[in-house]
Amino acid sequence: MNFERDSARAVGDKKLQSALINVTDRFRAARKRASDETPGWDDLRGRAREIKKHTIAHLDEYLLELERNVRKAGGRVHWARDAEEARNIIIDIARRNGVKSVVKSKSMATEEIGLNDGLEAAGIRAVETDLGEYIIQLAGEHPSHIIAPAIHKTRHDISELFAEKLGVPYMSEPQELTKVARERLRGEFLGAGMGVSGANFGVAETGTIVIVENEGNARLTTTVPPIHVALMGIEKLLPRFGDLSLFLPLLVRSATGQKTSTYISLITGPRRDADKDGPREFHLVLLDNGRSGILADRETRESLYCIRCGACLNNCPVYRKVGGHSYGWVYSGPIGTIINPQLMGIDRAPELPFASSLCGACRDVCPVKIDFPKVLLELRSKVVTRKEKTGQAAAIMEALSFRFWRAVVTHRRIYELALRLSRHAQRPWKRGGVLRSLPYPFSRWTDERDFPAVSETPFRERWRKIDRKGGPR
Amino acid sequence: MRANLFITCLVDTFFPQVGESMVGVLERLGVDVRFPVEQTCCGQPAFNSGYRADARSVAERFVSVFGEALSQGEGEESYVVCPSGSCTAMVKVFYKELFHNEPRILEKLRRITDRTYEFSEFLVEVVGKTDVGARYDGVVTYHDSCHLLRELGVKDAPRELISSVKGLEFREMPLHDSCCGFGGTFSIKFPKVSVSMLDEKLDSITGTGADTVVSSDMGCLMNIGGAISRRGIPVKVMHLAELLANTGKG
Amino acid sequence: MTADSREEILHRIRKGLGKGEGGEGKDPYPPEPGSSSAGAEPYGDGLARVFEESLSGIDTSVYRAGRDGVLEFVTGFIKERGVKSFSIWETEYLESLGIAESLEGGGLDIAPAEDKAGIAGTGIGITEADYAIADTGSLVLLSAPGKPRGVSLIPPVHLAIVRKENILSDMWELFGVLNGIYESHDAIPACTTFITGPSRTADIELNLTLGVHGPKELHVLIVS
Repeated sequence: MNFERDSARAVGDKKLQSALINVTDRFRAARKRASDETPGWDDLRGRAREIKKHTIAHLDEYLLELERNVRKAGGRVHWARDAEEARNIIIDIARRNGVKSVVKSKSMATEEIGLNDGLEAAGIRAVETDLGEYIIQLAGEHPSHIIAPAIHKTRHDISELFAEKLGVPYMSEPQELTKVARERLRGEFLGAGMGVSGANFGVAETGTIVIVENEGNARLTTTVPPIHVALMGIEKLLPRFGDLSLFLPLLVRSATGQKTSTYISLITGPRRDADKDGPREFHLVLLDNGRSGILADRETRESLYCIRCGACLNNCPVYRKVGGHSYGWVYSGPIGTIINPQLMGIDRAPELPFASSLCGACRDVCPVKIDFPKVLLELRSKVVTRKEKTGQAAAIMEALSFRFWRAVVTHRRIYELALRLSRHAQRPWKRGGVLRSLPYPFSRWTDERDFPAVSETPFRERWRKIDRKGGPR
Repeated sequence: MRANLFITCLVDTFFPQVGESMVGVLERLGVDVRFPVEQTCCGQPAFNSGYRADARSVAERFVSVFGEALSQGEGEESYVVCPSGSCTAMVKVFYKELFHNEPRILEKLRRITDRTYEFSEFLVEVVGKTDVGARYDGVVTYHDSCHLLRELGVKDAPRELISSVKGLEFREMPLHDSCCGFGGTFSIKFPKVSVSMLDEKLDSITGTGADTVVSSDMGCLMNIGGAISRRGIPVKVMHLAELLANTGKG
Repeated sequence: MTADSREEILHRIRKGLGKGEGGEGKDPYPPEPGSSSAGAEPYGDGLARVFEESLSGIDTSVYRAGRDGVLEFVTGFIKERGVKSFSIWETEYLESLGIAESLEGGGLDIAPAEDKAGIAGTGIGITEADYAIADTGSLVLLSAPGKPRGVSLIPPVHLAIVRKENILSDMWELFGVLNGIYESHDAIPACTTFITGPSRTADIELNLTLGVHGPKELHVLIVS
């Protein structure tokens, strides 16, 4: 992972820039309209936050309740400590049933565990069926947005990709491209031995998992193949069935601005004995993969309240410029800056908590009111503590400069001396009242921006004059 | 009514005219202005960079300097007034994080935060004025500082003050509440991203046809102004206090 | 291995939350999700009209008929489309209307629900929505032996018949009703599906395209 390098590349990619402005503008406006039209929106967000807070504070009990109820409905529950274990569980289910090919609906959790590569390595074909995911898979890439995984691709890119990979003639209309995908994927659904989905929510009270979508591929994935495996992060729980009446509108309206999505499936176990369709087996894989570690930290625990709507991405001025791939892992945008370091281990993503201007636009739109700036600041302090221990030269230099700064600003006389000294020190660079080029690291500012010169008479000196003029106070 | 200026290290060091303007406006409104000379910085640079111990020691000093200032002037309503949404937010919002394990300091802090105001909020909410007798012949647009808007929830006060200036035409810019790309050390940690955000902000500003851009934070204005001056864009960059200090009488 | 993982994950969670191994017993109730913020229910034909309005905003055609007019409508609808085969739910209500017999009598084939490829080859799927939500224009379908999920999903056209009395005002009301059904575990269907408009995607340059995986057309007949 290298946010600085990858984000700089993204900023220079004109095609990506216009795609990003397009997608973030559209989703932003749609979310705003939908939330404005929902009476008591802010109150609903507050309630959702309280419910998530309660659920996470009792996560062990709710997980057990969920497990009990999934079993009661005839489903099986598996627990995966990490990505590898989750992959193995799913591969094992496939092998035991002689499954050669798997259809998948969109799931960030399966991205997180690298399921497709795992299945391929085990000799099992995995086909993504969400149109955006299908395009990404054909291109051999990774999603760049939670909701719209292929927004970084133009219709021209997709036409060329389909022509190359599917052997169809070049066509540029989205309708035609969509039709090609529909036909190809219909065959995959009918031939697949197993469907793998994610889950937007898991309801403890009933053992129900909920999938929200617009295309219908998740319905096909969970209806047509004889086996359905759902992979769900352990934080996605809701206590009661009725909580969905709050969370479904919040999720959809925050994500796409629709009043509700085209399809919502509430799945409770496999098909019943007399049912004529639906999978014969239902497996729920509960994924920890670092989540219990996030829970252990009170200050950042709220990162687990996230319902993956993507609103923070669409409203983030940084995401708008750098796109999803700069964040180096599955989750991007503000939510990526807080959960990637916590899930991967902070040493593996130390740049991400800093990849934010702390503007707080994400917090304003978050349906569960995650206090992103607060969590980011908490993580930054952790990164610094860890870095200082490593004893790397750059880390020591940075720490020393803050130590020096502290010594200056905690002593008024030294501070005033520093002001006087910098007035002299800046002279070689000063041109017309500003500094146009400074040595590294300040060159990172002056490469494209002028830097103000230290004033010849700082305010505190001017104050002495003002004060004298005004007489005794 | 007494205002103890919390001038911020940016204004003190680089933009002293903003501080003078602030004094001018406040005195015009009959406020008794003081400057506690022991003040330096609020500690935000270290806090935002993850150096909490350093930030704490600087912040503690702030608490003692301004605690002392507020305790003087008996019988008079005394406040801390600051020309920066960001530094005000540091004191009013983030100090609580910084000292959450130190009840002794939190207690002292509470007395300060209750009396601390960002400049525009102070004029409108405490002094109770939107028309401060300013005059400015120009077309003005306003950039919302993220911290003033989202940490302190101040959106209307600066607009009311600007709109009451005589001779002035106010034009709201699109994306007025989008970050300009400053973000403290963010601007030098990721300069390409920062400048790209700034580009969009500049388009937004120039698109209004305004000849002056005003904001309430010198951090933002240093960033916006740095590019305006480098590129020679014919737009004046002004802190709200400078705009309001203008009376058109010389 | 899985049993160990279960214990380990639960242990990590309890440790993270600062609880003992047995857990401490959860709060009696989680915070309430709230209730409908909508005003008084419109009476008479009000809900049906709201429902119609919502549907028209999401690329769905709406029709109205009395009970006696349903058969005629469906026959005409199918003739117009020139399909050779169809699939249909076997609910008490639909059977009482005699739709399946009448269409078969007219020379059309019924694809059995078990035969997915067969359903895929049909031109139209006919269902009876258990509930509808006026506020969002949603159909709510509960799976059951005579009500396979594929019928509303696999054919390119979906015709849903909604009885007016099953139209509810909003999601809050719906979940109240579903809660009643879900109360007994044996009564929970394997799948409850909400359908709001035809299948759609915007994955290519955010261009709206209908019928990517599910039906391209959704038609709703409200029966009063």
